[in-house]
Amino acid sequence: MSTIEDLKTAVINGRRKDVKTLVPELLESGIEPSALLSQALIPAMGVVGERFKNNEIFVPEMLVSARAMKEAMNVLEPKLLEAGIRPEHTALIGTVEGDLHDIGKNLVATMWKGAGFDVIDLGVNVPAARFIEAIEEHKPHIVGLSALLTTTMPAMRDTVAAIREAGHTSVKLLVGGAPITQSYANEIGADGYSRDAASAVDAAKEALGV
Amino acid sequence: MEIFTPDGRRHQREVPPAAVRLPLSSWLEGEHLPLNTRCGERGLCRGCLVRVDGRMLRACQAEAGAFETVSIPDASFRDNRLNGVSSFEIGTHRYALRTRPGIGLALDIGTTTVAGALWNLADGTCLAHASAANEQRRFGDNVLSRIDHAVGLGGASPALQSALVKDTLEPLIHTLCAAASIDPARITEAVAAGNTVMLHGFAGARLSGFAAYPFRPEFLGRRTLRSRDLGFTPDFPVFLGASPGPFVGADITLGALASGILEEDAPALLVDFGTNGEILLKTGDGYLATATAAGPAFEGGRLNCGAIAGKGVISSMALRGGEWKVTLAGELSGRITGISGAAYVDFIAEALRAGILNRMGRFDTDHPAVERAEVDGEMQRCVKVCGPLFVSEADVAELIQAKAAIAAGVMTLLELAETRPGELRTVYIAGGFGYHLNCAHAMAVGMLPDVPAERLHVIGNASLGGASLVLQSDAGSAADTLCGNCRVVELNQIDCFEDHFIDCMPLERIS
Ligand code: B12
Repeated sequence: MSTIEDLKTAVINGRRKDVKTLVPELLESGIEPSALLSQALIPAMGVVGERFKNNEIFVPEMLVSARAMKEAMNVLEPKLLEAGIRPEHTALIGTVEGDLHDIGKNLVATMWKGAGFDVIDLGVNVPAARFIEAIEEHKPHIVGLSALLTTTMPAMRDTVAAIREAGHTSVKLLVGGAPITQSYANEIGADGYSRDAASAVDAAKEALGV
Repeated sequence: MEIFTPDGRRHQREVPPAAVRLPLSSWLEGEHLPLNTRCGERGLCRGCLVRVDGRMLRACQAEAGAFETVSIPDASFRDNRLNGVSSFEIGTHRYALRTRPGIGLALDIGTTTVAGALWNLADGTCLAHASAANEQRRFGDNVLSRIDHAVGLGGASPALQSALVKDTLEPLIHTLCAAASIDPARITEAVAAGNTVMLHGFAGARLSGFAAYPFRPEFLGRRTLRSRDLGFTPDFPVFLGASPGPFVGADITLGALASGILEEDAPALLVDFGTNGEILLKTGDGYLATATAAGPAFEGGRLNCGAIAGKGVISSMALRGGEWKVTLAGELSGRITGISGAAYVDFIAEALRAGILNRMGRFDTDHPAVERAEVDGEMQRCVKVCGPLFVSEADVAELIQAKAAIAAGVMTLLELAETRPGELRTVYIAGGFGYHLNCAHAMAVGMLPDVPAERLHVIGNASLGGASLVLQSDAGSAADTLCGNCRVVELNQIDCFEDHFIDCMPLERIS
């Protein structure tokens, strides 16, 4: 019989196919969706993030694990919603206007889910107005902005300014993407920055003070 | 100021009062001691790190007047001996040759390097071919930094155009003419291939349309300009090839003409291993084209010891009895300065085979060849190759992303065409690797899908070949037909790209 531990290991090792069969199997055996999340997925992504920070794994392995995690979340999310289970913190994330890169952003979204956040993904090429609309609708605690192009960095700056101007002064804005640096984040008035998806979890927790 | 360059020389220069507040990198540039200002002096990369008082700092973020002594490490020194690939071959084709009196100039304008060939149009003989670094590099090593620079100036940048025309192409033309003992004034016409951004910059067109999605370039179709309007002294018509899409340029269309893919049975594939990673797939009923933005890793960019194959650069390597046997691109004069993209592919394939490296790009810490060393202030696992040259795990990770991008682009196009890799009849490999790429190694590390060796053809700088072909024949209209027949695939809009990107990351065969 498969165990929660097997699911955790499968996610850590990025074995998507195993995850695909394990999740329904474990659910069928009577384990609560919330238990799968808190005892397998969240700890698994914790291990992945930790290994990444310790230079034990690199982006390829992380992407593979995140994809396995996503596979599990696809099944679990509707069930958690059904059961009325909502995580304590909500995060919004999107790639800024003019930019279509999302692999890195998706990884951050998955790591945040792995840290137990409710993550709403606005996708790519998201205009500032759309961010503001979504902030008003979902009342998130944090908003993540991603930009991968030197030429869309100004759109990130504009989005941060527009969100603040719209009066959303307390929501924490985190920024990231290959060309973004801590000093750029400070310059445009973001609350946090992180270089990779593993530290994006720490940055989010720090911004929230948890 | 006292400046030490990597060749061990000491240069004594006075910083005039007017220059004291200039960025150190800009001032050095003016003193003909240019640094690798890859990010366009924005303080984002490590290309201009110099050593001052025992610590490293970014020259673009420091003022020229602040220092007495500066030493430029090898990795930061922008080497103007940089060589590109000007060798090419032209496949069998069906175009009618147009012999006529005159001297023709074929150009391939790449982001990193430019290449040219001079032709006697009366008899179709190649008089000279050569390549040089694109001096626009000082505005950044990738097109986006240059676009950003132009956008800052309202869209078009005279400085960018002059860096290309005056500082790059004119010297290249003089080199070509000198080699052929021909007066530049005798050039009667030119054909230029290149990516869309380079052709815009060449024509002096606005780059704003490339800055963000949705992209709106000023032109994609073929154009004929006068060289005098571009800033050249001799006056002749300059024909720019047609591009299928905003980031899929005339380099791939003209490259396709030279490769012979138009005559080949479908399915056939052309991959250009450049910064932009353009791919063309011939299907049963037309063409699919895309750009995968692999980044400059295959040209040595962002790698600790990376370099473009040229004098003193390792062009291939093999592991024999625990020792790296290296081959150099040019003859050795002095020190070995870098590792080319093709040699990195050799390294990965050989290290993988020997168990030094695993399929996820990690070095085996128990292997005697693997050591820990400080790179950029961080402890990293490294393998020494020769002299001071090494490969770190971070280098391997960079190469993995680049190869995954290209392989995923190929797999996505194949999926759209409902074709399996094994069905490909012909695969052409063009671009920065020149003829150095070991295809067996490329397949072993999963840069390209597995196909039988006899179906692979390495064709060098195909776009220069294509520009040459257009110069000598009526092939130009075939390029237009190709553009009309070609569907440009935006990979961000295709869901399976991300899946393929992740699947293509491990260092293993793809089939
Ligand atoms: C894959 C890729 C693409 C794919 C994108 C597919 C997709 N769905 O995302 C395709 C092929 C479509 C593409 C298109 C283009 N690309 Co592209 N692309 C890449 C590539 C190869 C990898 C990027 C990637 O996904 N990396 C993996 C992820 C995991 O890393 P990451 O994105 O950096 O994310 C990490 C961190 O940055 C951080 N992070 C990211 N977001 C956030 C957000 C927050 C809130 C936080 C806290 C952290 C964080 O955490 C992530 C995980 O660790 C890079 C080159 C390279 N080798 O890096 C070029 C690259 C980014 N692309 C580039 C370019 C130029 C383009 C194009 C303009 C050109 C073209 N060929 O058409 C277009 C632009 C389209 C557009 N408008 O966006 C350039 C950008 C240069 C620059 N300095 O601006 C690069 C660097 C390549 C190069 N030429 O050098 N690209």
